[in-house]
Amino acid sequence: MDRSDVADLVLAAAEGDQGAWNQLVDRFAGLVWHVVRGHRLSDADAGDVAQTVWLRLVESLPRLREPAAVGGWLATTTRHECLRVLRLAVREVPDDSIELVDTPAPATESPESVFELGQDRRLVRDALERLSQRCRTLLRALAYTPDESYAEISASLGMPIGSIGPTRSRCLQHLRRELHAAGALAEGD
Amino acid sequence: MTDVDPRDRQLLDQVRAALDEADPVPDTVVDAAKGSLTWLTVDAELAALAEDTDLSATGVRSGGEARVLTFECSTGVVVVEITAYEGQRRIVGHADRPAQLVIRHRGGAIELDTDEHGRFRAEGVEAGPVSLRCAFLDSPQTPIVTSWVLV
Repeated sequence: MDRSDVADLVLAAAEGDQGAWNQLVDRFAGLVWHVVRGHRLSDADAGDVAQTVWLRLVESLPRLREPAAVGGWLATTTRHECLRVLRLAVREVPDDSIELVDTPAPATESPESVFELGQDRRLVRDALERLSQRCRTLLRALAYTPDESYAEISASLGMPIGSIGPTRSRCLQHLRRELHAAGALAEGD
Repeated sequence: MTDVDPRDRQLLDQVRAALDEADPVPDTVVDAAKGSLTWLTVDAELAALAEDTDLSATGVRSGGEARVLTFECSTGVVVVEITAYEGQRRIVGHADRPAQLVIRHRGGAIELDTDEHGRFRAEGVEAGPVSLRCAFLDSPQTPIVTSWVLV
C-alpha cells in the first residue's frame, strides 16, 4: 500500500464506505494504541482516548486537507488527547483513583507467565521503559507505523516544540545502547 | 514510499514483537473504532472546542468536579458544563438560540429540546467521548455538531 492508497481509503470512508474505514482502522489501530500507551495511560483511559481519537477522525474525514497524511494526523491528535487527559487527571482525580500506571505490564503477570514470556522480548520492553517518554512513545508508534507513513510519524512525534533535528535516530540509538547493556543485542547489531 | 533503514526496521520489528506479546491492541478498542463510522455526519458544520475551563482549579465546586466546554462555529455557539456523578455525567448548557439537540455518547443518543432561551439539561450521559448535534429552530437545515471530547 502506498500513500495514494491511504488517501483513497480516507476519501471512500468519508463517503460512508465501511469496508474502507475498517481497512484504515486495521492499518493504524496499533499506532494510535501505542502512542496512548507510551504516555502510560491505564487500560480504561487508554480505551477512552483511542475511541475519542477515532471519533475525531470520523468527524474530520470530509475536512482533512491531506488525506494521505492521515497517519500523522492520528499520531498528533492522539498525543494531544493524551496530554489533555493527563493534565485533567492530575488536577481533578482524587489520589486514590488516579488511573496512571507506572508500567504497562499485563494485569495477569504472575511469576509463571513472566517465565514463559520470551526473555529477549521482556528485555526489549524493560529497555523501552527506561527511555524518556518522548522516545518511548515515538519508538512504540514507529514499530506499528506502515512504511509509507514512517517519515510523517517521525516528524509529528519526534520533534520537540522549538527544536529541530531528528529525534528518531537518537531514540533508536538509546534503545540499542540499553539493549547492549542488558545483553540482548550482540555488538554490531 | 519512504526508505526505512533496514537495521532500524529490524530493531522496530523486535519492539513490535515484544509489545504484541505484552500489550496488544484490545479487540474492544478495534471494534469501537470500526463502529465509530456510524457517527459520520455530512450535513452538519463542525463546532470546534474553543475553550475548556476546569472549575475545580478556580475553587468553584458544585458537589462534583465540573468543566465548562465552549464550542463555536460560524453558525452557532454551544456552552456546556459537565459534572461527574455516580460514574456518569450531567450536562447543563445553553445554545445561543433555541434548538433541537441530540447528545451522542457511548450509551447511545439522548434527544431533547432546549427551552426558549436555548437552555438544556441532561442526566445519564456515560463517561467517555461525547458530542452534541444541534439543529437551531431558526435554521434547521444547517445543524452543527460539536467536536468529540472525552468527559
